[in-house]
Amino acid sequence: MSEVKTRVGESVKVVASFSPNRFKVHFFNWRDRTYQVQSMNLFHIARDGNKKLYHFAVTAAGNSYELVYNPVTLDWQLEGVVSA
Amino acid sequence: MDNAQDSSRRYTRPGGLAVSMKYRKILHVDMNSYFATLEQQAYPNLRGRPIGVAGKGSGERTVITAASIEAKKLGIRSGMSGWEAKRLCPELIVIPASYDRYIFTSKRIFALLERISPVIDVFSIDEAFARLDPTTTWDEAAQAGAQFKQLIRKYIGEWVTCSVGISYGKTLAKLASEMQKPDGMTLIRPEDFTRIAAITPIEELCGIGWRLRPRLNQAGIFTIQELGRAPKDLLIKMFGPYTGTWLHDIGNGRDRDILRSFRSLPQEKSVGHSYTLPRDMHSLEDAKKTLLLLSERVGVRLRRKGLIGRTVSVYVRFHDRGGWGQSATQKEYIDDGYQIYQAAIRLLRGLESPPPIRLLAVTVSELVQQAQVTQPLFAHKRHYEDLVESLDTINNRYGEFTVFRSSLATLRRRIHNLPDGRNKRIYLPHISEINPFTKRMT
Repeated sequence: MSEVKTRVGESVKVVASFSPNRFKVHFFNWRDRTYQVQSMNLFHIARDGNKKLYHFAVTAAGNSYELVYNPVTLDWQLEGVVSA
Repeated sequence: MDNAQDSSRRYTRPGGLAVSMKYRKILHVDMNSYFATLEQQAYPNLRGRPIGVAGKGSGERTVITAASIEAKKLGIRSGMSGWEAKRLCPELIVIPASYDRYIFTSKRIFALLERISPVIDVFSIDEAFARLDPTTTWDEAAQAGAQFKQLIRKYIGEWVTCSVGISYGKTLAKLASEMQKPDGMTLIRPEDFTRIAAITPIEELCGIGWRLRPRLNQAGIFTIQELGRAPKDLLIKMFGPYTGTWLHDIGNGRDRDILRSFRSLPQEKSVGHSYTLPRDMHSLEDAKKTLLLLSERVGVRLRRKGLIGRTVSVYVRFHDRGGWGQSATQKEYIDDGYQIYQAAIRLLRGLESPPPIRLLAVTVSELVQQAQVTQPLFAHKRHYEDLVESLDTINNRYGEFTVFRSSLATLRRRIHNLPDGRNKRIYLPHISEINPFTKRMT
């Protein structure tokens, strides 16, 4: 029994585009390396108190990443990595 | 009695509209390996591999809450303990549960189902029924099922699949969805019933489980057809008038389960929480803090829903899988965690020298709306209610258990650590995020 999800919890820089009813993450920069997002796989909103946190599961460079956007602080976090 | 003739009998739905079973069409949707499939949708590098979703990750002693289709083929089942799953499948990948993800996606799925029909009945987090218009033909019903599958692929993800069952009643629609997994679609029309009943074991019917099946088998009843042929009097004598009549009816293809929209369902009958302890506890003293935590969580949920209850129940499961439960109705309605805890402790006094404890559960039932209960007359009680209300205001804004009883401080890590390993406190605002002019978060 193995676990492949590694928790990261670090701030990242993100390039994203917004249009009506559409939102897309294009790149993120983590530890001075830029990752191009190949696909956005699943999205959900989590609540903590009255805060909404937007979770994006994306694929980049052969791995899966979970990015979390906090619209109150305008902060992006890399929540975790799932490696193959 | 001939099933085709019998299935055209009419019944009256609440609201007075009579719909013949012949015309009624109920669609049942069952998401395939829901939690695990969503994890594979989120993380494509897990697709095609045996994965198990576990409540507490792989660290603490854990239970597999869901297995992927690949893991199921290797014998992994929901409810299996972590060590059992590991023994069976050493290559199993364990992913911590992300309940926010599952609940959020469920709501999206049910919203998609409402595009197919406005009347849906949510059966569980990954199952729902939809009532199709009686004028719909069976072909159109099948098209609606296919359309729903396309909506799932388009709006949820290409890896997420569901099984669809369509029939003229809820029980048979659910049976139909079980017949082709994963990603199947099955119709049971009135004229199909006799053929399917002859080959389908009774335990395939929702409602016939480990209690009913052995007793029916003892009576020589193994298939749905045999159930239909059993004398109604015998079934009533064995199982009572309600269950006996239902068994006789369903055995003859009379599926009277009435579908009501989940939006018009009555309020909850109870609110409860349970917790499997990280290690067996040998005395009730050790378990008290967990009991207080569970009671506080029940209290928070009651107040959030505007409910208040009078009956407190406690359930304890022991390491040998045995259990003990007790309930008591209180003099007053309560919704405060500490009062619930005190009532639970009083109940636990009846449990003398228990074996090691594995699981604790607290439930409050006999619920009414808070507005229906007389406000307390004494000032100290009103002050206490004000205090609880203020704490709720803080916790609702900054997150559950931002402020909590000091006696729970030793459980703080467990309170703040989410099942997927995150610590929710990292989301608390820092001082720099407070705008000094508005005193609000920037």
